[in-house]
Amino acid sequence: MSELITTLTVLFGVTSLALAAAKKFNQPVIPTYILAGIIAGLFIEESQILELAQLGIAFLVFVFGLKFDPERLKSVAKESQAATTMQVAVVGVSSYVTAVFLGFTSLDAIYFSIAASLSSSLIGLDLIEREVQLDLIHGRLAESIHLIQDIIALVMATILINQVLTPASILTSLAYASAIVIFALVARKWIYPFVIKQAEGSTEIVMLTGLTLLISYALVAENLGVSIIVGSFAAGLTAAKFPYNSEMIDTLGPVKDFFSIIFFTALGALLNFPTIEVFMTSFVLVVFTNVIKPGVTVVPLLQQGYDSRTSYLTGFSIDQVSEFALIIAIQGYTLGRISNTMFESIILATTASMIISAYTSRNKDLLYEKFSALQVLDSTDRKIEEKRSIEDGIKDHIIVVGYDIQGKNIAENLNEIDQSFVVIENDPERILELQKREENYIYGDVMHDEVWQKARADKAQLIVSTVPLIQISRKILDLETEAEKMLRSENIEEAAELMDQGAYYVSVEDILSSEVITEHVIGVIKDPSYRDELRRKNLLEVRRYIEEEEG
Amino acid sequence: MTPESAILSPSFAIIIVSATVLAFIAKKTKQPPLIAYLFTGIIIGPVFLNLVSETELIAILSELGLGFLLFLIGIEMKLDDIREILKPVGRIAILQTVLQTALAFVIPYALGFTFMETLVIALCTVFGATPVIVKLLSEKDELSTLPSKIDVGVLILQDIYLIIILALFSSGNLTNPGQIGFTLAKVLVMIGVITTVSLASSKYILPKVFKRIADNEHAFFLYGISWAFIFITFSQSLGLSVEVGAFLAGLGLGQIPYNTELKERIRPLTDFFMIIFFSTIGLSLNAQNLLVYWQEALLASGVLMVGNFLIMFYLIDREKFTPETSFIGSLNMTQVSEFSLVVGGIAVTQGYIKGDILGYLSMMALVTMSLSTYLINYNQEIYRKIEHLLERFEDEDKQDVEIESLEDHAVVIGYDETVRPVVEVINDRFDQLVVIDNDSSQTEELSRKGFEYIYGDFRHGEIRKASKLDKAKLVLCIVPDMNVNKRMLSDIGPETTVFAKATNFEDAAELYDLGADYVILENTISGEKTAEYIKIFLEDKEVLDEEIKDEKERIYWRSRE
Repeated sequence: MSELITTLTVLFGVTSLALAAAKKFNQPVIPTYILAGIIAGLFIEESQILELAQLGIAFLVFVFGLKFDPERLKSVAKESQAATTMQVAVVGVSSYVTAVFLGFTSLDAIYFSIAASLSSSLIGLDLIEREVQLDLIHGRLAESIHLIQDIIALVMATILINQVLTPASILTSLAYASAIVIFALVARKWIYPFVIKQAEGSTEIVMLTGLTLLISYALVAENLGVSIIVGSFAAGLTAAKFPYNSEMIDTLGPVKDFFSIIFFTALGALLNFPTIEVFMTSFVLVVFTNVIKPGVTVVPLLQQGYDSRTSYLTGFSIDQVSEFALIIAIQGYTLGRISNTMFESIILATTASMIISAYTSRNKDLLYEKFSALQVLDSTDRKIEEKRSIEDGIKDHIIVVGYDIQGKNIAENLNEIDQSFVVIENDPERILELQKREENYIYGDVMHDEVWQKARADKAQLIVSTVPLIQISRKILDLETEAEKMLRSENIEEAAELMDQGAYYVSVEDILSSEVITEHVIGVIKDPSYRDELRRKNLLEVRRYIEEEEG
Repeated sequence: MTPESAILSPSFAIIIVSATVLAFIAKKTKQPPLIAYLFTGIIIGPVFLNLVSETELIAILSELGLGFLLFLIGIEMKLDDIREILKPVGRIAILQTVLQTALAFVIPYALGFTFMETLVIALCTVFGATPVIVKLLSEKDELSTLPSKIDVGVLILQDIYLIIILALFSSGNLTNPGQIGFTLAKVLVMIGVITTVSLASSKYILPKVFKRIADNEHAFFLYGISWAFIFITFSQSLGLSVEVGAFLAGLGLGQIPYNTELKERIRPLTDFFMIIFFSTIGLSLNAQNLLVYWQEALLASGVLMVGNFLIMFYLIDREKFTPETSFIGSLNMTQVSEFSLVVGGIAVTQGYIKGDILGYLSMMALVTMSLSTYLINYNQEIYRKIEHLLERFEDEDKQDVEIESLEDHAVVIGYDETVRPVVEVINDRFDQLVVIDNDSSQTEELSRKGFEYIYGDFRHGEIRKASKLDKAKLVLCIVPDMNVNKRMLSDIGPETTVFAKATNFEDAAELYDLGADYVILENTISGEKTAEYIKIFLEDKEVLDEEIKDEKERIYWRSRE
């Protein structure tokens, strides 16, 4: 017992130090754990922690299932169906062929191509959380790609558990897996809400229910010859109904954190000093993941009509190896199906690709500048001719950047007073709206000079930006025009800086909000009836907005 | 080894599933879940169905549970709070140990056990069951009440006493007084060393370390656990137990401002391990031995429980606390701890007693733990029933330490630039203000201000309870997370005015439906303002220049702060 304690102490201690270092350099969490594991592995016996590590897999996938939103999948998946399918197909096949060419068995090659073609929702979504929040188009695309690929990962996990890969065995396990998942969805709708109501108020019973779900599904999965990965997922899926899942995530979250830390560090500990083979294979895998995969993603996106910035930024958000690939690999490892070389290569490559991906994600705008300067796969010019609608000889107009709620509000007001304006947007959906309302618009990337030329920036009297991104604000300030510039910023220091650099006015969310809130708070304190009036008025307005959007 | 083996190990599966089923039954029949876990072990273990015996994994998880529990207790202990009751608690603990040992000695002796047997039994049955008491009180949210603090204080001191006993028993030499003295001194010195290290780091190292990583929840959790493990290893290497190390680690962490959040993250983990722990108590019981002395055990249990209660009551009352405190404090402490089984086990190994005596001890532990679970669970109700009987104990000199309560207060969830000026306004107009935020960069600044500040994530139950939303007059929540808002809206009272924030219209409408009074929709606020400004710009630019002058100045001014 005390051996285990010492082992865990070394493990956690090393990992804490690693995490401190990682935070300094802003590195993501998972590769840090693996690296910590490599170091810790020099001092500890892996066998001690393997059992605990396996609990980590189960909990990881279980919580993933808990957070999974089948409804969201449907709506989000459509965005990138075409692009994702093409990417997985192209990268999948080419990586498989490459692996075979490098001398690996067919089975090993399959593992290789899974690692190459699927990206990570765990890390990937973390990196783009802000973009998804701001509802930026490339955020949505990346999220969509990740979700679809998670499903593909689950399917692959199911297939690979089979001893022999014949069409019959594959179909059987897929059938069973689907049965389990379908059951989970049905239970989620009909049975689970009833059960969880009984547990209401007791966090312990919620936790126990979660554990029972996990164990039960795992047992069924094992008996049907289905991968425990799918079992854990289905278990989580059963409970994936808001608001019930939040309590379970709260209670089992820390448990999952505990065991998954052990899992990732155990992976690191399992690595031996890389041989030349391992090194080479990892390198090739990283090339596939960080260069070829994003590249292959960009092409179909451009074809679909997205502007080049969006396409590239999406590419940079998906250039990592999925943690599912790791889980599938260790499943293969414990079943003795994957060679040690391939196993270690995948771990090494995953670590490297996640680190690189964090870097590309943070610096994607910069990288995009470099790429577009090289004129690689650039097609904006051609698109813009077709994608604009603007009166000839427009002048003294207002240019509005962004057609979100703010932009719409501004447009509405400008229409009321008959003031001419042009909207610059890069989201195809919003362009459709603009077309419907017959407004002047330019469909393109705000960072490109041509867009501003078409918008006649030199003749405008005012440029208003509704996008709080600093690079866009700076771009606008750089424009050669007499027009006044009203920008938007998320923080006060930035706003002051922008005004120093020539912005006429910068609206800072926080300041405007606090003024309004303070006004209302004082009102409520002073006069009890203020509260009801406030609610009534604003509720009506919100309903009005919603109706308008739908109409 | 397949990924399946760990979770599907039949023992583990059976324990979890049985515990879940029994827990549901317990809930339906309004019993505390703890009983369910105790009975899980008994039913599936060697006593009845004999389906499961303890495996290594289970033993590991179980021991980790105890460690984490004491870690949690350590974090809960705010030294400032305890300082006031440290002296009385110390006195109570020492006297209680002496008196209870005496009582525990008399009973078996009177029942006819040998001297050696009596000695061992006495030493074993003195301890209160820390896990049971802490768990139950924590569930009832009573841990921060005065009786609980007294009880926990006494229990901690008892645990230290226990460690000394364990060290003595394990050393195998109970006959040499010099040996005993030496071991005693060694243990006390070790404990002193670890405590010093823990408290020193708490003052100098920990605040800095945690501040830097507090906003990264993974790191936060990890550091907390690492800290615990480091101390556990440290403690083990000095010959002390897992529990002592964990407790002292927690003690150090309990003094930094981030402890609420840390507690919340550790608690579920502890719960998980503890469920296994309680379930496995039953697993180690041997059916035969259990029933050999059952009559004696029942009798002894009864006498012990009443006796313990009276002793504690007398001691607490003696320290001039109110009768209520004395009563409830004593009611909580009437059981025999599962530690008695641990100590008993060692005694058997060393040959001091035989298995049947261990069975006797087990029976006592089982009976007293089950009964006292109900006593603790219903301690308030029982007190109310017999309140009038205690009038004779009342006295002007007796009073309790005051615990402040929140009412008609304002609660602000989330703290950023938007909220800062509003908080000043609210602080001026409200007597009590609680600010909850989980951004560590603000902690120092905020803990210095005049209002109560809690560092933590509002999604966590303990933090929500601490903010007493149902009694609040005004709630301002600028966290646009729908989960947080929904929880918040379900916690508030009918009189509470709520300001919430949403990122889109559908969410806003939903929040209004759930009871929000005003929903901040950022984009609309600034959109409207901006549109307004544009209109003025078009009419007469100079007018706009004037209009926004103040705002621009404010931006410049605040940017330099």
